[in-house]
Amino acid sequence: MHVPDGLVDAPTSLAAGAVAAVGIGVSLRRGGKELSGSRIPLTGLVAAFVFSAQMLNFPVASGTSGHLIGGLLAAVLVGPWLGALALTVVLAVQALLFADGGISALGINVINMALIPAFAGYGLFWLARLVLPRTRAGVLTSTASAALLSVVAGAAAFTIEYALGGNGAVPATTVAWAMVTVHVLIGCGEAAITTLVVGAVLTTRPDLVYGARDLVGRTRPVPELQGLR
Amino acid sequence: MSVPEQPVTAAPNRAGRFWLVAMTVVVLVAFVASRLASSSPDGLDRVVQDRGLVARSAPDNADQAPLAGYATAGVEDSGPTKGLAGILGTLAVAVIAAGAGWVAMLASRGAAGRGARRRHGDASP
Repeated sequence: MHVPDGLVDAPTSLAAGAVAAVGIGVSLRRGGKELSGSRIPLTGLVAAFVFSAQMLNFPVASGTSGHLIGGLLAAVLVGPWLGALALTVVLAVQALLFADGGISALGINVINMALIPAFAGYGLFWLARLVLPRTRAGVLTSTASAALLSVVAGAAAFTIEYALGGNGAVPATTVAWAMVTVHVLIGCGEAAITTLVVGAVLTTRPDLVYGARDLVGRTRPVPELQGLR
Repeated sequence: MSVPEQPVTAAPNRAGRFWLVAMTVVVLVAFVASRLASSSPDGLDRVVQDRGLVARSAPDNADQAPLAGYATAGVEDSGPTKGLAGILGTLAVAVIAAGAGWVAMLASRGAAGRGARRRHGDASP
């Protein structure tokens, strides 16, 4: 979903850059407060995983591929603030070193693939967790549904940016329909990969899953907890 | 639902094994994914092509970016080179993200002083 150079005009790109800068600044402040020793390497690891997994394009329809965005994944693992920062680093490295996603469109890409999945996506995850049982299955169901919707939300955000300053005479409604339908398919892949990874970390190191902090300790047998004290 | 005999906080050797396995997975995914990636356009590129949206034909920094197109300059379409580019990018992302987190932590400690530790242990999801 990387927006290339020249697809959205300069004023819209600049405005998006300003919005993205505010989002990153707030994330740095809030994320820094939440950080402790063990979350720093985890943030690096999550960003590295998202970067590597984003390179794997899976086919979704004839002649169309999709790849993990990973914003919701990062937010569930390290929290929305650090998740947004991790994705911002991924997008900046892609734009600067790999020429993947326009440098002029970096603000747009940060909004669509870092801020929206991390904050709107994590908000949906949190809402789903409130409704669903406080179990592993509840966490994974929330993860899957929020992952899917986070991709669709990013696609919808692009449509709004296109409506504001897109180059080309195509009606925004046409772009909206095309973007949302293809990204529902890509979102299914996002949900599958995200759920797989969150499930794996939940099995091996449940203490490292930010979005399931409330489960750690709660499901442990009481005698063992007392023995540790 | 979860395995009852797991300790609340992993023992040091177990923690070490987690990081080792995780880093191995990340580097393997980087090496394999960058070589096997589908060459079909992704969802947004497909919409741009099919609906006739207008974008510049090449990235503005296509000539300056050292790993443009996920390959090192001059040796494009070479599988191992793409794998290497993927690993280099992955390591760069890991270091920069951890470094950004470290700086953010130091900055917040500096700003908030000892009170910053209050926020730890928040139990909501």
